[in-house]
Amino acid sequence: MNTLVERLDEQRGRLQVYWSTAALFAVILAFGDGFWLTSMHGAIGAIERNQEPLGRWVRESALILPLFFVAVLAAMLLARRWFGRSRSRLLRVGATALLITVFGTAIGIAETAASSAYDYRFQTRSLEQMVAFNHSHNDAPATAVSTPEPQGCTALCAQKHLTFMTHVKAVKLGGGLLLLSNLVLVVWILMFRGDRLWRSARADEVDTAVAVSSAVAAVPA
Amino acid sequence: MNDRAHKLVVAITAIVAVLWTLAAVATLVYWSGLAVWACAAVAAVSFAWTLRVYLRPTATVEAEVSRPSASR
Repeated sequence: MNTLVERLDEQRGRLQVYWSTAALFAVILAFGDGFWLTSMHGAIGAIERNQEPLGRWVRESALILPLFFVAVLAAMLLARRWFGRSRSRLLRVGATALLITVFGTAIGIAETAASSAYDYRFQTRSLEQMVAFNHSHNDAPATAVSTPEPQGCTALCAQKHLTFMTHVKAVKLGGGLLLLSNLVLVVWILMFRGDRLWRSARADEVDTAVAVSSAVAAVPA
Repeated sequence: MNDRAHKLVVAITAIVAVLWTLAAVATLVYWSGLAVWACAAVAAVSFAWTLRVYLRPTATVEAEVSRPSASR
């Protein structure tokens, strides 16, 4: 256990990123995307999952938060590897903004699509129950002339298809909105945290040297 | 903070982070159904395998690079 903790601590130090910046990105992106998810659910979601919007927004955004954190961390590390040595600050910060936006949007779209799939399952079940209920009440008498079943996707099949296409359209629209809002949020955060993305190894060495020298000074002669 | 307390804080933070991440992944899997994620995992593994195989440096390219006359 001790070894595992030490290894974790060592790994945390080796990544050399500002964890507070990554956490800030993750929280703002998670709650920003959660807002769109809640809005989308209010528009086309299943009635069985209806809840108070504010509570739902907070709960689902908080639940998905670690995935955003992982995505932001991955984007920051990749940006440092690919563009960290570039002399142009604009390129470094711009590329980081773009990577964080893309990774964050991917998580947001996955969340939206998964939620839509869950809603779709509920909605198709409701449709099937409704059709079964109508059939049991409107059964034709045995003597009536039976009409041939229409060919192709009609009635329940058509309703299911329509529901599916509504979700697909919503995810497409939501994807665009997520991308745009994430880009705005990322640029906004970078405006005041752009200089605190990655720790330099040299700064860490100086920190360590200062800590060691103060520890040495604290030891009584 | 002494060493023991520091280790305790790191351990608790790590456990909470792992459980929280697992809960997030489990929620997404539950919402969308396992079949979708199984297909996505198969597709991702296939893509990674394809990249690994086709981006592997071939013996000819390595020989070209290591030969000193190749650069002249």
